[in-house]
Amino acid sequence: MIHLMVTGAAPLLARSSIRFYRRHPAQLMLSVLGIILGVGIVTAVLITNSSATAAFSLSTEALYGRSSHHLVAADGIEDASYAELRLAWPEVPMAPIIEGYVAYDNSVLTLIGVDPFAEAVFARFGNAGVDDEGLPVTTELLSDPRGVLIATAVADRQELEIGTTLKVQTPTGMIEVLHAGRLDASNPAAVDGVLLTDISRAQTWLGRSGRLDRIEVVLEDRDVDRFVASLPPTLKLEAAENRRATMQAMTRGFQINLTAMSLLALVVGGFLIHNTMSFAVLQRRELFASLRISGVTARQIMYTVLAEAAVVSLVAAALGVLLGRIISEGLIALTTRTINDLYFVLHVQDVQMSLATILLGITLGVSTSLIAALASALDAAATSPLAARQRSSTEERTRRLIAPLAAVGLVLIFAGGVLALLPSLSLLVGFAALMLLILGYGLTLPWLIHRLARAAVSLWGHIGVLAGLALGGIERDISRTSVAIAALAVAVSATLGVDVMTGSFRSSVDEWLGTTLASDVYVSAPSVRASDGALLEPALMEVAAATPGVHKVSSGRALDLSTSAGRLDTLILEPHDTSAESFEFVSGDPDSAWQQWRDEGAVLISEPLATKHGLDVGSRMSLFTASVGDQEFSVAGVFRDYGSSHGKLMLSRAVFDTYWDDERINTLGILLDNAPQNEQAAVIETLRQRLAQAAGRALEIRSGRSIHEQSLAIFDRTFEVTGVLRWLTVGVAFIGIFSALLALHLERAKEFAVLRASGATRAQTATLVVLQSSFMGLLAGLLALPLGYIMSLLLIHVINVRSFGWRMHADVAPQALLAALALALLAALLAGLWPAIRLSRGGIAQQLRDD
Amino acid sequence: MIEAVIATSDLCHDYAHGQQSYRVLNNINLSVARGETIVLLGASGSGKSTLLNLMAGMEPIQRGDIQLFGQSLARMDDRHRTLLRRESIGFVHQAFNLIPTLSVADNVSLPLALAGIPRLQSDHRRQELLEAVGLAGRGSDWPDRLSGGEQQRVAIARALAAKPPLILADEPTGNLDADNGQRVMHLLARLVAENSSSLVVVTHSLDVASIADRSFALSAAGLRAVDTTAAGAAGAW
Ligand SMILES: Nc1ncnc2c1ncn2[C@@H]1O[C@H](COP(=O)(O)OP(=O)(O)O)[C@@H](O)[C@H]1O
Ligand SMILES: [Mg+2]
Repeated sequence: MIHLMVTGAAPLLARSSIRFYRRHPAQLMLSVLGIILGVGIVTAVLITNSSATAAFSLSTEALYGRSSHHLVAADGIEDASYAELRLAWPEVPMAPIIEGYVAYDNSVLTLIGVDPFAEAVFARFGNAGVDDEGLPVTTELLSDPRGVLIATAVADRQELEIGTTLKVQTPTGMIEVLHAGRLDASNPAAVDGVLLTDISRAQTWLGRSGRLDRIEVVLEDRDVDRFVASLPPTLKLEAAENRRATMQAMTRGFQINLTAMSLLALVVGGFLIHNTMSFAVLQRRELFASLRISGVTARQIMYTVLAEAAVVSLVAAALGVLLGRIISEGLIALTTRTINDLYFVLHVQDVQMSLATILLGITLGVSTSLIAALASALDAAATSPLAARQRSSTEERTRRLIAPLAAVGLVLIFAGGVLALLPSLSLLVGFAALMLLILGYGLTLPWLIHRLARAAVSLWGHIGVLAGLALGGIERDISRTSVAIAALAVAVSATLGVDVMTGSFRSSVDEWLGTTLASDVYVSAPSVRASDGALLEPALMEVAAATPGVHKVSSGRALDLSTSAGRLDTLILEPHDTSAESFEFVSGDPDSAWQQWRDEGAVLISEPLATKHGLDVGSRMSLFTASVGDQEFSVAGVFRDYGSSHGKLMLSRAVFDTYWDDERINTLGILLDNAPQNEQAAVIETLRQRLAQAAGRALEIRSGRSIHEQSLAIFDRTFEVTGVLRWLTVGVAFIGIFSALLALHLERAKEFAVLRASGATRAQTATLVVLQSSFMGLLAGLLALPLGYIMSLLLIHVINVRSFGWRMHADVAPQALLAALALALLAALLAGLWPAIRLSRGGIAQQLRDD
Repeated sequence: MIEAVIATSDLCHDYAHGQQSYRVLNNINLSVARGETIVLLGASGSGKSTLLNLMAGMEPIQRGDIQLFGQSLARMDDRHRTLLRRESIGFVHQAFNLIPTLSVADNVSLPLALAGIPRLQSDHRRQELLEAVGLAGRGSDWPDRLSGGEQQRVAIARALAAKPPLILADEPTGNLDADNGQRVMHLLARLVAENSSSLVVVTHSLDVASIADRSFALSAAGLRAVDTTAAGAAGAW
């Protein structure tokens, strides 16, 4: 740039550039639109991720506040232990907490029970218990046995007035609570979704009388060891930071995947920018040649092209960031729903658009554009002043270039392949491999396109003059056509790859649900969230077993255990005869794994857990038990599980009973006698009545089938975000092919006029454009298939394993391939229609005159 | 009256310039007989190209009519005008207008291909023409590798490919130097004669006026016949 300014040619060259783009406004608009969309998608995902993360840290900050450590127990801490601790350590600030989920008016809220006196020290709920004016509410309200403080955000959303009552669904049933005051924090978003009440009320409502979830403590570093030494074996001290990290780690894979999808959109956008810039350069070859003849240096030409790309992309990227802000609203809604479905309840109130996000979005957009424009800039600079004037020399140069380019592409593909096969767990390496493959394939595309077009000419070129012209045009104009086809092929392959990955994932999950939901009927206590562990009385097992028509009954208990691999969702299973069939072992001999687990006190772990912590059959891990504290167990088998990407542990009931004194369960799995459907329905009805009577409340009885369907529905919701991103990527690709075809055909307006002067009818020229566009689409579609397939393999076997720990089989539905072909064809066809119409409308004499 | 190849009757043409429109062609009556060569003279901007374009059916007729082989172009839609052009007219442009991404040979074959002539037949005709214009060995070259004179010879071969009975040439030598221009003009005249086609050629070059059977000068006043002798022509414009 400096060079340009010094010579004083910059203003002249800049004026020339501006004039060029003013004469080709459509082209400029389309490339700007491509960058806007690409940057918009990336920024939207960045904003979404940072908003979710910020909301998460804000709420953990507000809720965990000053505490340095948490005291936890294997299954809740008894009230008495808390009292003893207080007496033993009067100088250590402590706050007991119980937490659970309740629902009001279709939204899930977090009910937190605290000890108001202990809280005073923590001072975390800044303005707890204020009225609408921010003044403290009367103690009368607070002391009402139904009183809760409701987060301001919730109260405002639901239009709840202080002093009114509302019906809330809790694990123990519907209860009536009194809105006793607002719960305010310095940032209302921090406590969004929270109902705060006193410990004993929360214990009753959540059905966990006498138990605390955790005790938060503020410990000086030097006191930690002494404190730990004084604890009974049933209590464990965890750093507060760990808990936060664990929760954040859960959503990390999900967020990374979103980011990857958005980068894919940007790569497609990059191809698009390359596409536009190379057209902009190609169209000005003669102009550049004239400039060169008049003394402009090759370097100045190169800087001019780069400067153009920089200016155009800067403006477009800035607009893209704005678009991203708009898209992010919808994306945040979709993402929060998924996080709530899969991980934990999160309320995102503030959209986080930091300066860093803005700069990152703009930088990504501008640098992608500059990289994409670099080839064109070098190209513009490299041609000799005389040769550049000849169109055929451009094509010949391109033809000479495509073979070496393809060779470089092959090397990149090979490097990508090697990277992908490296035994690494790094996601970054996985993405690098993916990018190398895409780039490498993109570079081999012009060569492939040239070959295929040439083959097509010799196969079908003689069918008719139009077919010959259309097919031949692709080969002859290879410098133009190959870029457009390559951009479309890459975009379509990206959607194909994601499609196949999602499809494979879904069919694996479907299959897994089929095996894992082996019982006919599942019984659980009504709960607000599927995973919140409302409890059932163990006696219900006998009631169920004694019901005529019931074949076998198994029981399950879900716990959140502290282990050497962090906090883990644990299932305590009392199996029935056929329970073993519901597990698919990915490591370990199924029979011996099952037998060791059932009879010898070993544990079974899920695949993501094994992958993430490098565990396998024979590994040992320690669990924090209720009776003796840490205890080692050996791993007998690794089972397939798509239920949790965080990992899951399974203990047999017998082992659990040895180390825990807790008979309660969460679910019953019931196998019915073989009988016609209507008889089974009658059995289920009897079960419903008997169990309700025994439990003293209505229980949820659901068929395996309906749980299966609901799980798939959640799966589909999870991938809705992916679907949205995919369509946005297709949008970018469409703009790409549209602008490419528009430029390609409009550049040839004069040729079409010559054709018309030589006797071609309007219908013929229009057919020519449409034929050529469709053939380009077909080529792009065909060429997208191998890359899409390889991408899906990489997504399935490398990216997914590394971000979630889930392995699955690749399942390529023929429909997915056909859909990709159709997509490419349709995009090209649609993109070709407008130029076809415009060209056949144009006056011949007018076109021939414009010289 | 012997049947004319092409005949204009009271042909008028206006162009819009902003709000105003102004007349370029004013009551033009020109009739070309079979095998006849007509030279059209006239200052730049006098409407020569407009007239040729109208005759070729490349622009819709506003007022008056043109009879091409007895058929009224004014009453024909674009498609029929195109089909008629394909059969009966070859056009040579000042700027050669070869298709840069088609080889020399393919450029020549283009009208044959558009007319659906079988490949074998068209290959033969193409070879014949390339020989006739002296470019037999250059068929596989790209047009932009040829000199201006060579390119215009290809364009002539293309115009003659489908053996059209009428050739329209709009300043075919305008982009060429005097020597090349002369050679191209004589080649055109000779091939048109061999084909017994009619030729309407726009040119500024005085001595080519000598190949003309009749010459006309176009001006705002209309069409005016001029002497075909060099001296007479000189006075005409
Ligand atoms: N499409 C058009 N729109 C407006 N004016 C035109 C158009 N085509 C030609 N003209 C004008 O009509 C006049 C005659 O043009 P033309 O037929 O090209 O003249 P010639 O070929 O004799 O130089 C010129 O003044 C030209 O500017
Ligand atoms: Mg003219």
